[in-house]
Amino acid sequence: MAYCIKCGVELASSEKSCPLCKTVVCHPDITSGDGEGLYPKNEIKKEKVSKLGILFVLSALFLIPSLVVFLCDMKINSAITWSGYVMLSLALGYIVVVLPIWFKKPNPVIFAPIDFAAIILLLLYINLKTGGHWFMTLAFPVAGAFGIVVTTVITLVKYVRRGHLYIAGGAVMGLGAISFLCELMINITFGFEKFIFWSIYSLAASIIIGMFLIIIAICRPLRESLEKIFFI
Amino acid sequence: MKQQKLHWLKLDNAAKIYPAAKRRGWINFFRLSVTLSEKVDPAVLQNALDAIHKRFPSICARLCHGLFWYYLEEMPQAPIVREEGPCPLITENKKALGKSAIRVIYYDNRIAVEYFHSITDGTGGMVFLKSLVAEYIHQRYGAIIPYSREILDPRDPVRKEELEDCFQKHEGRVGRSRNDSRTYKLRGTKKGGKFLDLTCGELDSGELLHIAHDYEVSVTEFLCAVMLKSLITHQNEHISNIDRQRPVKVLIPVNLRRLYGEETLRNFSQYITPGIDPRLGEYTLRELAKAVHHHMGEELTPQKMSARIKVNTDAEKSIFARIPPLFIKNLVMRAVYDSVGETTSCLNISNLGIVRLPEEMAKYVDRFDFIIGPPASTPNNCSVVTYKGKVYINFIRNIKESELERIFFTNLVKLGLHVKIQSNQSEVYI
Repeated sequence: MAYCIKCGVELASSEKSCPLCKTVVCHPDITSGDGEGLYPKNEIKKEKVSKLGILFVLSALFLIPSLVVFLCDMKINSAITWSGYVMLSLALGYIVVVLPIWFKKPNPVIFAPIDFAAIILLLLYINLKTGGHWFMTLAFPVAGAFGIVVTTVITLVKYVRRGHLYIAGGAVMGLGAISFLCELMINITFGFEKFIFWSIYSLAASIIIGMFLIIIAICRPLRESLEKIFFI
Repeated sequence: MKQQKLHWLKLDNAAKIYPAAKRRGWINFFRLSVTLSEKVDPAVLQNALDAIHKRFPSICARLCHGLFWYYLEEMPQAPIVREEGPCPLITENKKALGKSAIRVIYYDNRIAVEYFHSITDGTGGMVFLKSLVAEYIHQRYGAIIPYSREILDPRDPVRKEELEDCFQKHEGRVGRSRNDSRTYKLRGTKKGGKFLDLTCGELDSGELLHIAHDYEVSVTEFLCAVMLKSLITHQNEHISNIDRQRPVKVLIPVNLRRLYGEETLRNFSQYITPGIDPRLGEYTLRELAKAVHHHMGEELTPQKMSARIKVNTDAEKSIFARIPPLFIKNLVMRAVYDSVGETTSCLNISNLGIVRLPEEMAKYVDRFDFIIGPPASTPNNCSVVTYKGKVYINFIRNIKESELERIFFTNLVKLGLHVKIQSNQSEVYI
């Protein structure tokens, strides 16, 4: 029989270490851990969560408010007025959050452009409903450009194994370019006199940060020394 | 042929809280097991279970929910016996309770039954286990085992008193609120997953009884005193500022059947929480034992227990508790359980006492074990049972640290007791 040298308790032959203080059993005449254990050593099966149930609940969470606002609007105004915004916003939320869950392995490369297409459609609806003239000159180009940048980044991250710093650098510079485009389109759409103002700063900052990330990607010693300092 | 109508039962007063308090990853189960002298034959075990399950309609039951309350329904067929997993009391999904509120498990020489606490308590569970094992031994070896109050004859009809909710019968005239203060809360690094670490200490019952008598207390009181001492040490190690320390208390379940002479197989227990406030000064083990002994003596009277029962039954009978639908009750009861239920003691010590078997059966049985699962928010629990001169103290935990067990068992070793340790932990920690 083996005893724990720290706790003074006798240890069953199945124990490789003391269960109380974790001291490893060391006995010249006994091979520890050979005895029959209290329980078999197989693993616990993970509990399965019903995906269909979750989808049903989530779908109901989106559908019920849509129906409620639709009925209220029809009762009060006898037409779809304000409820259209709510219903389409909920539909957008459903497409972004719930739609990917319906698929076994949702591919973000496919769902990202779908999400942006849904956003653009919602903006188009708002533009038409409010009689605005900002969709083609502002909403569509800015949301479209943002969608292209995000989809490109997701595609590169998913399919290119290395060079994530290059991608991050490019993404930051892309965001700077979008901010530039955004201000440009705002000025064109609303006829502001001053042509470019704030976006020049964000563009400059994003180019600096983006270039810095690309330099880090190129220069291995710099990357290694930064990794040493900033690891989590 | 006309199908026999299944028994259904309202949950007893103590049972009502457990279905409401259950959550993903935690359901209040406890386990009783018996280790036989030979390997268990699962086919015979299933036959034995099939033979006795109708005799225990309140235990071989499933949990169903009505609009306002949960209820128990007798299972049309006995549950299927299953093989043991890597640890006791593995939490299954909540739906499993709707199929069976007990699990009958075998491994090597061991037969174990895991009970959802709403169907019975340790004493009721022990009657079921003994009856199951008696039937198993009868079918396996042809032994004739005498039936008694603790080993029921499967051919006898179910008696009314076995299914009785005795809380209603023994409520006092006036209620007595507990007004327990918040206690030191054990904490640790959550292990994650469902694996529970079990550490079993085996002691000689004669030695333990001798030392308990030296301190002029019972075995339960003595173990409670050692636990309090261990909790004080544990708290000192974790909270060095004495002003920030909290009282330490241990919850001891009390079997009310002995107090009121009842034979129900359903829940019929209350609890007592002896403890001390370490801020008042240092306590020796003898002082702790004395404090526990006097607390138990003062509280464990039929009058005081009835007054405690009254508080719970009044809450159950209140119109405000009865009218809300079940899902609202569940929310409220769970909030009450979380804020009050587990804050008034550090952990349980549940001692089932000495298990006695008739000679015809005892020769086939080597050992008994009793394990209660860790509570929802407290990481440790401790349960004790004595059989054939050995005391089995099972510690269960859902955290990585084994400090409390270490302090507790080393305290026993320091008192001159021989402790043999067994566990289900397979890793070697270096």
